[in-house]
Amino acid sequence: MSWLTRIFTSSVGKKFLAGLTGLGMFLFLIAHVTGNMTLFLKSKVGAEPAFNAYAKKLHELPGFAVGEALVLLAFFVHIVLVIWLSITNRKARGEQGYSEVRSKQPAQSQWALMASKSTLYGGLIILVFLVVHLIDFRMVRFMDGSLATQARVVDALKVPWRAFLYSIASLLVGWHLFHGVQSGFRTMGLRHPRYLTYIQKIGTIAAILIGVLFASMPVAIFIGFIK
Amino acid sequence: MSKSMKLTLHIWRQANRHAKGKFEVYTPSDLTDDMSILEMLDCLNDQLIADGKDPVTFEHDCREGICGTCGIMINGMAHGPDRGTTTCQLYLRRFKDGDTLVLEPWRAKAFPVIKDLLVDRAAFDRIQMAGGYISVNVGNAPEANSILIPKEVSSEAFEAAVCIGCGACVAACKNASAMLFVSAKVGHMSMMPQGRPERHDRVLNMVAQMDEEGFGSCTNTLECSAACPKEISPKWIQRLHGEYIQAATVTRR
Ligand code: HEM
Ligand code: FES
Repeated sequence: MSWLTRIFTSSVGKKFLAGLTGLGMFLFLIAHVTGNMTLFLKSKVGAEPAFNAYAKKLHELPGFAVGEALVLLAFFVHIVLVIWLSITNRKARGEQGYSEVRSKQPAQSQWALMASKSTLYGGLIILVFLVVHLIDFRMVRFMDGSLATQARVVDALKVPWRAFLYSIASLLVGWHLFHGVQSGFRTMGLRHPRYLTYIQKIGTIAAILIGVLFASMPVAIFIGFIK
Repeated sequence: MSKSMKLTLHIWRQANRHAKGKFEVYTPSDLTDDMSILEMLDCLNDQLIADGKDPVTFEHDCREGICGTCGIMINGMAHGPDRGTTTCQLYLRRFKDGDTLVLEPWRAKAFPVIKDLLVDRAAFDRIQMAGGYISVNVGNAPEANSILIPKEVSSEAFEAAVCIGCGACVAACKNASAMLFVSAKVGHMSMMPQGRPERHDRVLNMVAQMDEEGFGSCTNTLECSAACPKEISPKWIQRLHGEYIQAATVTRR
């Protein structure tokens, strides 16, 4: 068996790739949310909004297309593998379920447990959101090459259903990462308590920041704070 | 002084692998708080046999927490509510007079029920046969100090070697994953010099057998380690990933 087949078909290999692609997207999200914070910068009347200047610079970066393709690839690999794993996992549980299940983990782990148990459902909602999101802001560049400007972002997110979907999905991404970041690092083989506790803390803080900062944009636009 | 107790038992009864099972309710007499869960079942079975009924089948051997045969779900928890405890080491004084206990077999596709609370854990044996060994020549025991092993290394390997193969990790996992078991077996052998020569084949073959048996995979939910009567750390699963990816990428086979 070739080593690639082995990694793509074994449980451990699939999980490793799911973790790797998940962490890759986590890095992307850090960059994405940081860049989008330029929406909050006030620009002088008549001057070009900071967000537009940022977007233009970003797309002129050498290798931007390669980065974009890598994120897209990570996204597809992640989704295909986690759904495949989830189906296998469900089958492995067997037909006859338990009459009751109780956790033996300490009380302070119960939030993490909930986050872990809801990754698939949260992830599927994120998937729906991402389709809408890419149609909203990526399609035009695909069609005519123009970039999403601050004006277009504000127009789109003033619409109540979008504001709602974008803020809920942002929080769900944070919830997904609350489990995902520490799970991903564990899957990469990090195990020593000396740094695992830091990873857990940093992961939790990063997940909350990503969720809240992303959600702050549709909220700020909806209430008219960003114009 | 032991105190007498009354408990209501909901016990899963299933005639064989293919039969449909259901819960039966029992209220055995003569229970005392110093009985273990297994002694409680012995007591119930004496009464069932005296009444000409079919006794409850359950697996047990050492009754001192080392053989790994006695695992059952008690009130939705593998080996009952206490951590680091096997079913045979759980005593009725842990419960209150008048409590209800729900006893169920391990449930997983790879652990089919044979009868009542007894499940077939032969899948674990097949995983072990796939690589959970070291190859040495038979004969006299080798001189103990011919291979020097640092104390920290042997102690850490021992943390995983205490696995008794009871299957609680699979039973408690939402994915019925056997990765805590497999990682403990792979882990302690890969740490010791005697296990090094077969290191790569071992992890590849044991994981392949684990997948073949229909176990799920780990999502770092960490319920396995909480249910483990030997409190084996999830770090062994993280180690397993490293071992596996390394073996898969460098092996010549
Ligand atoms: C914004 C994009 C996403 C990011 C940054 C992300 C990140 C992650 C990370 C870091 C992990 C941990 C991997 C591991 O267990 O080692 C993970 C796991 C997972 N993700 Fe995602 N993910 C994203 C989108 C999705 C989507 C769209 C789905 C649904 C189809 C999904 C479903 C899952 C599932 C089921 C797991 C396994 C959960 C577990 O390990 O307990 N993810 N994700
Ligand atoms: S009977 Fe041996 S561990 Fe319980």
